[in-house]
Amino acid sequence: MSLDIKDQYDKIHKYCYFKTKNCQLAEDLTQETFLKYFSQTSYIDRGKPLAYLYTIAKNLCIDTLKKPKIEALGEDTTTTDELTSIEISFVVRQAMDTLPKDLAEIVMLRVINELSMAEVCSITQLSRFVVYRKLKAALKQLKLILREEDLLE
Amino acid sequence: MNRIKKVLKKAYDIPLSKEKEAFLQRLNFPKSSYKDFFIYQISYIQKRVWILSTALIGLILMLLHFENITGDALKIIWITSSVLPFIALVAITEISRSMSHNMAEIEMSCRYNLADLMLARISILAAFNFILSNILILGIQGKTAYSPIRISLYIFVPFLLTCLASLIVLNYIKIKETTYICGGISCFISGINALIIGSNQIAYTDKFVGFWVIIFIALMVGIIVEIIDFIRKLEELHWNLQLTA
Amino acid sequence: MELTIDRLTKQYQNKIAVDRVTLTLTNGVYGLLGANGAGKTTLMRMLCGILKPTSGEVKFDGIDVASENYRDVLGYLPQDFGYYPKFTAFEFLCYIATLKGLPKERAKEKSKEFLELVSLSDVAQKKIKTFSGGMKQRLGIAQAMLNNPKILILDEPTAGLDPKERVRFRNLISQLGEERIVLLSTHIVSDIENIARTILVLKNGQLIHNGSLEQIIQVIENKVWQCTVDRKMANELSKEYPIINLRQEVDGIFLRLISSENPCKDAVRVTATLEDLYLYYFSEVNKDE
Repeated sequence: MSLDIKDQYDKIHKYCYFKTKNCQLAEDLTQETFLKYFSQTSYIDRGKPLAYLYTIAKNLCIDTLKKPKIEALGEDTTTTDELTSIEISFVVRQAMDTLPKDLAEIVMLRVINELSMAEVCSITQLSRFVVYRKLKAALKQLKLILREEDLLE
Repeated sequence: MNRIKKVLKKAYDIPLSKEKEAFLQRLNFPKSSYKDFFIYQISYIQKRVWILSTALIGLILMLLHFENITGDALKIIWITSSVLPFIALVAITEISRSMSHNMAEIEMSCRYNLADLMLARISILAAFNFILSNILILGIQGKTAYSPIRISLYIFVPFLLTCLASLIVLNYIKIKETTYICGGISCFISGINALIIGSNQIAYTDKFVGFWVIIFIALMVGIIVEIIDFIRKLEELHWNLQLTA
Repeated sequence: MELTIDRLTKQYQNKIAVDRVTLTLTNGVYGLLGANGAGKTTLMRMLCGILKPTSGEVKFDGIDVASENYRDVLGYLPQDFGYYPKFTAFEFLCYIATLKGLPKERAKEKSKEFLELVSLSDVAQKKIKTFSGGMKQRLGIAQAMLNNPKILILDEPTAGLDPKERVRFRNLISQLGEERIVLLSTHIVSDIENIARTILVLKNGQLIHNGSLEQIIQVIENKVWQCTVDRKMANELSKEYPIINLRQEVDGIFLRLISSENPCKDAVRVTATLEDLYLYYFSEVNKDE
């Protein structure tokens, strides 16, 4: 494991939450990811451990979402003028959801979880160039949406 | 750009349940394989082992270079075979480190115990010394009338003898101060070797080559036997028995 | 989780160091009490698999003591341990962690974590040779804990600790003992009186007591007496009864002794302590030394 495990736990949790939109489910999946990861000794300390960790998480999330009905958190939109930070976060997450899946995924990995370019490429199976281009496009779109929402000056 | 990144990161800062700590505590981490363990141990060989051994080989090569001894086979053998026992000494001190620094007991109680550790250490040092030997032979090659194999025979017998004698000491004398005994042995063999060359050059004539080969092989066999014995004995504590209260 | 010790015996040429010890240990702290030479270290070394028993066996949940899997769940602090001279505390722990089979990054993480636990974080990068006895001892406990062992064996862990460190150590051990088997040996009664759930008393290689403090004290319950008498009387009493304590006072000689009934008219009965029991068993041995 190349990084602090506690830190990775948080990041995988974020990633699973991004995928499933359910906090508790995300945590379950995170734990399952680690259990699976550690049952495969040969990957540890070698190769691309982080990429492998995300790949497991990704597959678990996909499998789970395929199963009939996991409810996303019923998040309510608010009507107050002053947006609290929780609400900002909510709007940002909604904005992320409007992005094409592949773009949002890259933002998740590269921006939010701060993975290296090489790791992102390895997880998404895309070339460095494509990842770079998609990331740029994604951020541009996000900025547009959020500006409309008055979240960015 | 930075603002949007900040907002994005914050958006996914979701609270975690209390399960995290407990889960991570329980998590059974896979252990490293012996191969990984072996690689880690390379970094735990003391730096002075690499430096001293290389320096000694360097010293030999330098002496050979400046002494202008081309053709004088005996002098080459004299110089190299007097220095080599000290390279053996360096390796032996590294091997006996666990005992001389009283770490053996902890090391024995670990997953990869003292026997595993020693196997790794001995293999690493043997490989290193093998590489150094080859460099040395390359350096000597062509400087004498003797073939590289014959030269090796002459120069490595004192080296192997030091190894063997030191291993026997480690195997049969269970005190912390074995390093000093091994040091004495190295000096003794180095000195005796010089004396023999000085007085009895006949030993290096064609007539005795077979004799050297036999000694060489006997020493190799002896070393292997002693190493096996050494590692086998590490399964159980033999040191500081004064503490068996 | 069960550590079973079955008729464990170690015999040296002419001396039996450990004599048919049979025991089953489960979660919690066990205190092994015995005089020097009672066989504590020999017993512990056999439990760690670094000394082969003459006969008998040690198993943890069916895993034999000589196997790699057993060592995987074992943490051991020897009575006396050294370190390679150049090691800092952090390097020392990382090194032991690699022996315990932790991958390198994990080794660093855990080393940090346990330096924290034993409050050595601020001297992590200092050479061990600059450490005090107590610091070294804490480092020893940290190394034993690196693999999160299920069996933790500590041989005289409180040796060289000052009173403040003793308190801290006791707290640490109670904490560690919650979810593992902790066996610690000592010849200092007060070290285990408060933290050991079960006390084991070893004498001449034999396990003579195994039970809670209350249980084992019963042997001498109501049998401890104190009196102050003149020299002649003191001599007589010490011939007849085991003496726990004897000291010269202004008005005579103060005696604390074991007797089933009142030894003399001035004697008063006092509450028995573990210390009394210990001295009762080991006073002879102590005289020999």
